[in-house]
Amino acid sequence: MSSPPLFEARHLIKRYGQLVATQDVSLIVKANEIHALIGPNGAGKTTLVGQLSGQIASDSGEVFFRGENITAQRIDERVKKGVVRSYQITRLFKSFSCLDNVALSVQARQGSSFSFWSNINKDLQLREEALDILHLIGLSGKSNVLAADLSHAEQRILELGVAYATHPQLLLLDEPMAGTGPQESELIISLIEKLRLNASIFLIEHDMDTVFRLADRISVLVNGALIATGSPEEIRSDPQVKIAYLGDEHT
Amino acid sequence: MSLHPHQSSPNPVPLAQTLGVLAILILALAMPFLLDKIGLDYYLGSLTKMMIYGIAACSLNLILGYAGLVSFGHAAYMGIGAYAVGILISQGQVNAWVDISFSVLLCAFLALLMGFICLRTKGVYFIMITLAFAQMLYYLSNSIKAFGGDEGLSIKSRLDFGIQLSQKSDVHLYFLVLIFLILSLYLIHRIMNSKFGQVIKAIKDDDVRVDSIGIHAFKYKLAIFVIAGALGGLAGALMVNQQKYVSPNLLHWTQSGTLMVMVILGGVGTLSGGLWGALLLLTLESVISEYTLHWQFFVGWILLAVILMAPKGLASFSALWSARSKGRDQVPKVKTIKP
Amino acid sequence: MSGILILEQALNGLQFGLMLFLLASGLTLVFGIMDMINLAHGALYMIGAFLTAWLVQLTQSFFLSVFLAVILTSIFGMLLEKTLLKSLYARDHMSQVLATFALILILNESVKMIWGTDLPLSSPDYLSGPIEIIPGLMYSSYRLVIIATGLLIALFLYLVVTRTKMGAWVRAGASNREMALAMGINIDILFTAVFGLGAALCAVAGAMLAPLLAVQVGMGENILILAFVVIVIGGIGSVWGAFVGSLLVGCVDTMGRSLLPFMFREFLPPQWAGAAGPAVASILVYVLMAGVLFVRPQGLFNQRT
Repeated sequence: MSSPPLFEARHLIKRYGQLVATQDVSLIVKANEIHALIGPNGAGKTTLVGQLSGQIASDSGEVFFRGENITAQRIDERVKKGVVRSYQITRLFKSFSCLDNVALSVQARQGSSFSFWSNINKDLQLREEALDILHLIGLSGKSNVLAADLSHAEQRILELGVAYATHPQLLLLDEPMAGTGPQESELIISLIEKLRLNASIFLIEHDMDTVFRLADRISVLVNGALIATGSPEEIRSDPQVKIAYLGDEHT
Repeated sequence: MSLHPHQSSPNPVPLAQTLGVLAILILALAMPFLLDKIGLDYYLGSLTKMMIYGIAACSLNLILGYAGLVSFGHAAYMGIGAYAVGILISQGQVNAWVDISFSVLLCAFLALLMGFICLRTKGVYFIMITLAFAQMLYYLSNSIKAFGGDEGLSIKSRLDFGIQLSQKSDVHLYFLVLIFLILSLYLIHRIMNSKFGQVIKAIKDDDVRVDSIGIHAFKYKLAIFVIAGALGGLAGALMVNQQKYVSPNLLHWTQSGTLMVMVILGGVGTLSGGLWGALLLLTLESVISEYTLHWQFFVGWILLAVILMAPKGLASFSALWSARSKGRDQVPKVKTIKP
Repeated sequence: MSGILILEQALNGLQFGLMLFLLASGLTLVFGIMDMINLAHGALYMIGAFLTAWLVQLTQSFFLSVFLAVILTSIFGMLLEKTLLKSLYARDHMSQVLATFALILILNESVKMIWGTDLPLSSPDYLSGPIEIIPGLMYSSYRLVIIATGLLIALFLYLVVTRTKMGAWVRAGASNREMALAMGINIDILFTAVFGLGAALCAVAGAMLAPLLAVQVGMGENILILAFVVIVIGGIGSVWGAFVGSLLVGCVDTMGRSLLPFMFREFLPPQWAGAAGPAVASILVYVLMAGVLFVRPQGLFNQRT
């Protein structure tokens, strides 16, 4: 092995009292790949993402990024390294406009936030870059609309834009299409295809069509344990996966 | 080179707002003479006291209104600031610049300590321990007999600002406090309109999200805590200077509650909300006290009504206020620039 | 400083801690289940004390008055919950703080208007004599009654919370509210009942402590803050945590106040000891709280997921 994988998790465990939410999960995300995570409801996908992003402290196990052990690092430290997460239940700054939401992300990336005196309105370069990103995700017409006033799908898209603005190297996308209809899902898929040009993506999704369309590799999480990892064809024909998804299977 | 409509920035401040501020400023400057004309010049002292509370309430607004942290111990900074200056004066140190600087720095340091411990907690815990720590300081000041104990500390002279100010003049004191008030408001204005201020506003919406975009929210919460504490100390220094007296009551938790009420009544998360709240509450208190000893009873009902009847909660009140002061989030005047 | 003195102070600490537990347990359940911060909890304690003092003047019987006061306060608490506090459950913490703060102002002034700023209340005559519990230690029989009452109620609470169905609901609600709702527990009745119980406990504490601490307007707030400290140390929603925390706080505070000045006088030069003793004693509990928080910000026995 000449160089370490982009992102690696080893033997992650998380318990809540008697319940073991994450059971000894190990996985790898390679550079330039879309690695999807699927699993039935309650499998523990969001918990796992929380452990990968730093929001949830694992009981044991380690996380590596570019060979560096980031297990003890906080959320914001991981983001600065390039590991960024988007949320299944939209978390935007509801009282901010779309522009301000993205602009804050840009500001965060630039690392200049401990500045107390200069008027932020006069920072044209910041707003320019934010507008460019809004344009990329198709929301430039709504730049001054409050995030709270957007439609659900628009919020999901903005959520992606906010994550993108941090210039991530690895994007942990937690069900980006949750709650959106077919048209909006298409939009989000095309966005993800744009995003993958610059970042690796660890994608949690329910919708099988999307997963098989986008993913280079797929892992399957059932009851907190990984039961299979492989290419879409391997997963599609894996008997254990079929059992786990009895009734949900798309052939 | 952008191909999309370019936003003109900054959003120009509405003319009406600028004129309004100017009008209030002129009124404030003219107040001593106006009051003298109508024979009510003894109210100048009350007005000065209201402005001092205004500074304190505006400082709390930084934490409560802008950052969304329900700190129930803010009276501690006002109290400690007052005691610091009071003790210095009673020891013979009357240089205003030395005393006020010391008071502000002391309170900033205190806020750093308290914030470091308290900000590790969230929600209900945070409210309770900020309350508890402030009350701890109250008990401390009550029990240290050297500084007056429960009888408080009286001082013989006022701060010496090094310029020809009459120590006894109400008018001079009024203008002094007015200047500090304007400076404080200006400071808050600059801070909240900066990149730092933007982070603070985001923290109020979702502090975990702030972490998720790569900003260490804790650091910023601590910073705003320190700034607010420092300003609270300033208010305390001005208070003891005017009253020539400080007692542990200034640190009692009911004082913290009073400051919170001022922030709410005046408008959460607005620049001058704390000032208006202070004016409103203290005026209410003195008016109702004319009629009954039990003014707290009526203020309580009024407060309860305000909180319960605000349709979407106090946010709706503050939304009304902030829609007018947050110029940037209004429907913009977008100018299209042809490339 | 004799062992007898220490033992006596330890008993005082136990006694105070048990009464503190009565306030803290009701409060921690309200926080844990309803996620509501209620500053007016101390006012219920005060009302319990005032009602008792007033009823004693009417009935001449201490314990009958306590009994009636507890019932009346509990009813008042439930009425308060059904009318006012209900509308606060869904609101943010800031609104809850301010609304209950307003409530304190209203209740304090109301009591002042009805009864004045204070009322006299003494413990019953037949309990005014001391009892020799171990050779050399004479202890107030009234305080012993308080300790007994506190322990009985603690036992009762333990049994209710761990052995009854309602207790199970309360524990479910305290650890995960959404789950409890989903399980079909009748939240409305449960909340009102929990609040009524909390109010009753406050009234018992208020009535029993009144002869020792004086019945006066504002008495609720001082003890309320100590109750907050207890909950922070013990963990929100945990009755056991409230118990441990209360005894800890009760003992540290009581023993600190009485023994620390002694100790300081032994070890420090006199001009310091006089000032330092009371000062440090008054902040000891808060130092304890800060210490616990530093190590475990969620409290020692936190239940919430």
